[in-house]
Amino acid sequence: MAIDKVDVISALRPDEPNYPVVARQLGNDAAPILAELAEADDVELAAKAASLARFLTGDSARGVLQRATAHRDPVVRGAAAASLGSQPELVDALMGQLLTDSDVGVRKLALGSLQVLKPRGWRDKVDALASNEQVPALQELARRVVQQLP
Amino acid sequence: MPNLCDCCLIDRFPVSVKHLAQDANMQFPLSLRAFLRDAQCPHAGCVTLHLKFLAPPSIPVRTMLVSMRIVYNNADIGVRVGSRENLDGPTFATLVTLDVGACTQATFTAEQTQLFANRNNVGLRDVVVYFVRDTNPTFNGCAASPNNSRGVVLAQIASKWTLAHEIGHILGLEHVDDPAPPDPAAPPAELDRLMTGRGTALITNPPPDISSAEITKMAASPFVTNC
Repeated sequence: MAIDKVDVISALRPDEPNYPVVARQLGNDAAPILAELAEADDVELAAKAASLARFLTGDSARGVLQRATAHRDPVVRGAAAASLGSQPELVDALMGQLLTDSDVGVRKLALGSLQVLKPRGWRDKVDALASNEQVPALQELARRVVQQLP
Repeated sequence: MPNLCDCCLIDRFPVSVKHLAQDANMQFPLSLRAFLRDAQCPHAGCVTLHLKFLAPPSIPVRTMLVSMRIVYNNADIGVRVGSRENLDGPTFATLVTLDVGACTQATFTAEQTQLFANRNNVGLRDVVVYFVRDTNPTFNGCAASPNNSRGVVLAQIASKWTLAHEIGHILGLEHVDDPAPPDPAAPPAELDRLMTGRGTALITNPPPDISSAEITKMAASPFVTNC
């Protein structure tokens, strides 16, 4: 079944989308449309597109999360940071700017993804964040994540 | 600070206090504090909300409350606000973006548990509304909450009907048109219903409807108490 933009928007408009189910039903064919939505001004759709990208397989999430990571709204960037926790192959390309984002919510979700994935090569960066972080709860989280990274 | 919009009688805005006083059989002029204290809700039952703000909503709270009252009046349920509180400072800085997991009654995240523990002024059968900036993953709202501390979370992307919809979940209502597309089994959308699962931002022909079966279920909820 061909997926069009109307289908994708309809799937994202519910107040509480069931992301795993929607991703399975839309499939990776929806990725170009999700990428388009992820850079649009509609924050609701952009953030939901980024949240859905968590469940895309293969390299399909790359375009969606690249655009969401560059979005002007931290809600969208945060959704991208969280989705990276299920997209380990995109971490090296996208996580750096999210980990040093000006927004505390984005940094928290980026740390959460690193805590899940425990990727190599990130310990020093998280250690630097732990040293400089101004929000006590986030500094504490960063210190915990440092301990868990290889 | 008392807020006129916290009274169950406010189902439109702006309002004339003089007309409100007349409707409530109270003398005018009167003090706002006296009005909020003495005005009686004429409904068969009331749901009492406590509003706790971690981030300001995009849709004004008064719009959400008035929208909810318009719908709930049809179920003869009054909507009153018991208290308002700002949750700010370092303790709440990282909860402005709230991890809600899958938003189900089966499991709660550590952040949900931490947030829902904030129940200043809240009675056992009252419901807390936590206004956050966003949730992870992205939802407009989420009604999943521990049984002994029921509450809902509303994100800034919430529509003006999301509050009424999420409280509907607390009162036992489920979506009327699930599953949503692209599920091949999706029934026709019921966009004139409060409990549509297709997105309250898409509601048509407002105010959205609640069925007689839904009204019966709401009235039986432990969170609908005597006014």
